Amino acid sequence: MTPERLREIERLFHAAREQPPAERDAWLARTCADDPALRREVESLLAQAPPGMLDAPVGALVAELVAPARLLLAGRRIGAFEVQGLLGVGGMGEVYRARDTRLGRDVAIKILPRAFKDDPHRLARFQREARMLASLNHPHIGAIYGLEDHDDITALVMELVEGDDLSQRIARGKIPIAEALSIARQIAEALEAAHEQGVIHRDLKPANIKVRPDGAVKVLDFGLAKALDPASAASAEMMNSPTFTPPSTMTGTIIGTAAYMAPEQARGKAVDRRADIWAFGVVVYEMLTGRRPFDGDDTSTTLASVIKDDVSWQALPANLSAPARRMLRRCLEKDPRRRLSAIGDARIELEDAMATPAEPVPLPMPRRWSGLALSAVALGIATAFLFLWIGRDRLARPAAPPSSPDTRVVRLTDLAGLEESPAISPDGKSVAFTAGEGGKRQVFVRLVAGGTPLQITRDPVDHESPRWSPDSSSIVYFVPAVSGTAQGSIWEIPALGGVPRRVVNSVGGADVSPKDGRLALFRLAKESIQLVTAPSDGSRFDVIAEFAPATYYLYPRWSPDGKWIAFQQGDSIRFDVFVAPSTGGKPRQLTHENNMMSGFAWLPDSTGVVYSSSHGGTMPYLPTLGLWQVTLSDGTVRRVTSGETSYVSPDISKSGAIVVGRMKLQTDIWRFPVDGQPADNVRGGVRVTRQTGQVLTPTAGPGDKEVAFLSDSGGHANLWVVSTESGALRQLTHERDPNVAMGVPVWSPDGRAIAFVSSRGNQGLTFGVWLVDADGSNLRNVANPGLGPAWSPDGRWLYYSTRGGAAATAVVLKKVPVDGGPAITVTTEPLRNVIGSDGSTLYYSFERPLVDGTPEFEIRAATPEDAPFRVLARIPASRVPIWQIVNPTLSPDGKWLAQALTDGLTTNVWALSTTTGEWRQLTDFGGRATFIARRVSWSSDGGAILAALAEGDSDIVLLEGLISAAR
Amino acid sequence: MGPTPEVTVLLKAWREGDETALEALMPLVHDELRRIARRCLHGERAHRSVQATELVNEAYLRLVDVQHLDWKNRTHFLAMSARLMRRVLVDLARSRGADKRGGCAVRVTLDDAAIGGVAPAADVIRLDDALQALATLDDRKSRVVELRFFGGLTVDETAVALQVSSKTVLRDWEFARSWLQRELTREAGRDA
Repeated sequence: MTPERLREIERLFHAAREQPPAERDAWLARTCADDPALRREVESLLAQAPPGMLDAPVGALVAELVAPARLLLAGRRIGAFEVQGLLGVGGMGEVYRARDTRLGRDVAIKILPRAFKDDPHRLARFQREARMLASLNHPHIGAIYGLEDHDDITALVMELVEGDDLSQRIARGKIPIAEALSIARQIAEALEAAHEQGVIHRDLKPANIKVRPDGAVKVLDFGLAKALDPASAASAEMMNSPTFTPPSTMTGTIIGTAAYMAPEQARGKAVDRRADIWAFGVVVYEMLTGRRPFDGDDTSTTLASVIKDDVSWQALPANLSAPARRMLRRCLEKDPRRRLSAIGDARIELEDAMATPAEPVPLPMPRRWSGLALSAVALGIATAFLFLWIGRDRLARPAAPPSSPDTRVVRLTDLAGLEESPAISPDGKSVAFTAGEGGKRQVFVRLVAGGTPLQITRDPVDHESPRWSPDSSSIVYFVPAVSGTAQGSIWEIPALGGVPRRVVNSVGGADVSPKDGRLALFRLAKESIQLVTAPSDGSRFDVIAEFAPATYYLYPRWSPDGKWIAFQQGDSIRFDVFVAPSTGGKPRQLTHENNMMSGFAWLPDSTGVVYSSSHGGTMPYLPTLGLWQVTLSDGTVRRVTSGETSYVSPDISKSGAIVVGRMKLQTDIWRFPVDGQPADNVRGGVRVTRQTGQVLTPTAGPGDKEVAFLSDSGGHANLWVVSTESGALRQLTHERDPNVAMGVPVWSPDGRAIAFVSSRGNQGLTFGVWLVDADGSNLRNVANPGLGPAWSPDGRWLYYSTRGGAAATAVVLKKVPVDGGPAITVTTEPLRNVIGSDGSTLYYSFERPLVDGTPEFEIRAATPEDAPFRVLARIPASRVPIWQIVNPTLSPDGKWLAQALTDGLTTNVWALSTTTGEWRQLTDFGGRATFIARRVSWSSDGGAILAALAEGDSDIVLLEGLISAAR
Repeated sequence: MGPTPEVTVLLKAWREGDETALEALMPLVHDELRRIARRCLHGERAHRSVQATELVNEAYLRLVDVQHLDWKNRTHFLAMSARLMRRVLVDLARSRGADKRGGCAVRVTLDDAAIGGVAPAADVIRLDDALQALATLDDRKSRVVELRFFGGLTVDETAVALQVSSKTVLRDWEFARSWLQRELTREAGRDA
């Protein structure tokens, strides 16, 4: 560093701060295009958010320094703890061995600096973290027992772990393979358990890994690793503010020990669990070789080594097995997007390694597509995704359980697959929910206090939306329509199981008034849909409101005071919550989301609702659904949860605890052959993107040389392209506006351009059709609004659906010349999505309104394209995957349409013959809870299907303390 | 202890370039700071309310017969105080047995930054080092931090002391603050 260099850094630092935050990164990238080191310097400085040490008054520092140095002496008591002796001193204060006189065990206690006591906010934050960390209960994690606050001392009480730490062990020489792998596996288990709870360590290193004499490993100081959410460092006041907007700049702080820091951590970027996975790799490497993979004489040279140097793989023991080598390589990927994204995968590799004899020869990759798979490891558009797509604030606030001062998260179910629609009983003791059993959703009941869930329905149909009677003795649920009937039915069953009783027909789930047990439900009338109330025997209806049938009406919910009925209304994709007086009257709109929504619940005092919405996301298929709260009186909206995890179908107890489905979907793009039996095709599948991540809607380029897809790697949905030959990855679009969602790339037949949809310039999820050349240039908007673009076979026209016609909801099909010129209306047949054209026949989908008697989609064909249509196939709405989107893909030879269809909990890819109208099943995932998000792609030779496949797992969790602050 | 001629003489000597005077001065200032801080800790005022200027002023008022010093002006006095305060704090930190690595018998690896804490002793030494390093690149920035942080000077007072504009002080401060904070967290991470 020279003074001149410093001046240059300073100049850019100030100039960057003058840029709008959202544009800062891009500006910096442009300005430092030829000097990445300079850019890193400036970035790391910009990441230093106050307050830091220099923002505190020096008086506090003086007081710390001159305060009596050793407050505690052996023999002193703090509450029930008898201090025995000093274990050590660190930056934060002293750690003592102490005796817990109540429980008769030895513990370690850490005296926190006085600054904590004197800063209630800081103390509250720490208490919150400590509670969270205290909930980490795992045999390989050093436990935090609690926080003691006595007189002038605040102390953290921790498990006392005897034995050497791993750094002392390594100092004596490298560790034999079998033992090292055993230690590694235990560390991985500890990290896995913590990551599941949303806690990352942030400072994993040998010095805080203890190996007891019996070989058992304890990872310490998870402790003070922050929960994944850097917003936990933001103030609680901010979280509770109705206007709280997360900062859009990265707020990462450099924490950790240089030699074990992940490159992104070393750069001061926000970190997530992959930083732990990196550190884990470093520790394992160090155990096996006796030396650190990255080292230097001081911090800056060590950090430089972390960022620049390659790992010396030759240093690994020659007889280390292939799975262990593979795991290490995947952990020590410098680009976090390429790194192993789940420590559980490392554990599995380790278990394989421990069962595998030494075999250092790497396996050759047999085929071109395998090369793609490998490159996908490299590309790994990573981060665990879920029902997913991350909100605008993902970089600033990586995945996190909701956090606020007194938040507690209790997992109520732990079954494989999907648990949905939780409902807490009025007495607050039980939770009813649905879970898959034999491919059908069945109702289960579990005590909040614990115990095994009890299955109370058994008949072989789907059971949905359980709701409790006011005395908690029985449960009302919905059985959806089977094919050929418009309405499903509402049933009642004793809460302990028994014989169900059919109550009434309904188009969806009902709710039970907590005041008087009356039902609220939507039913089909002659030419409308009615919101009605009914006595619990369903003997008569009182019409509250009446609606046109072209819209979806879901989740009727009584307010706890019985005065209101709220419900969710929308066009099958975009919803809002409306509320009507329970005595009848015109409903009014409560939310103004125009987003995907999945249920809501009233606050206990009837002043508003908490709802699940895709608000703030940029990848609509599949979205992350977070919880938001809206106030009835003034419509004020407040964020309740944030992060990558989806929370759906909330219910709220009288005491204000939220029970909610917590859902995680992990997507990958797979390539399945289509020429075999469905189950064989699945077995022949190749995972194209190896890392779990937000990778969606693949589209094969010409000759299958490249695949384009949607990914939110980098924090925003954008188009990416991977080469199937070299594995090279490039980002095609560079959208950064958090209010803009993107979706569904479709490659042109001639390979020149890619069409996609983007909501840029529009509000909510209203899309326009855009084009970008395959080299990323020439980005242009060709239609707005417009959805579901499809190419003409000659690549000269783009078909799309758009609003038009008499009714506001009417949709027409248009086509626009790619090289410029006005759009032409092709057909005014009402339709949903255009599918594609083989040059003579045009295919599109149509959604038949519910009121027609059969909720279903039609796939229509017209030859020539402006001729009257014929119906090629009908698809019951119940078989259409989430979000009610039918968006099939025409095969290159024009003979098949590929579409994902759902049966029970499993989604498979099917192909519809365009000549015979017959369906052929292409994949058979058995009983797995698979999702396939929207459009799949044929390979350009038609011999395979590319699909973004997610395996669902959702649990019911209880969230306490999230809404108390609002009341 | 009231103002003593001894301290006044030593201060004068230091100001005139006699570094040994500072060495003699330090223990006296220490003791006084310790007394003040202890009183703050146990008294009604929580120590967080003790601002740097207050502390420095209080120490000097007790130690120095200000009336008989020929300080050109208050700003200059505070500037000297800032340097002295820095020296005192670093010395105190070293006396706490902390070195940069947190250095006591058993290493404890609690994650300071995760709980937003100030690790006083080690941090003071790190800050001192980082300031020295910064001074080799840009002496004025190092001085700005010394005056603002250790001396508690306002932006305007700092500007007067350094004979630059307030705007320059502010820009220097913003940059140096980020710079030092980064250096501190990097350093803190190493073998804490």
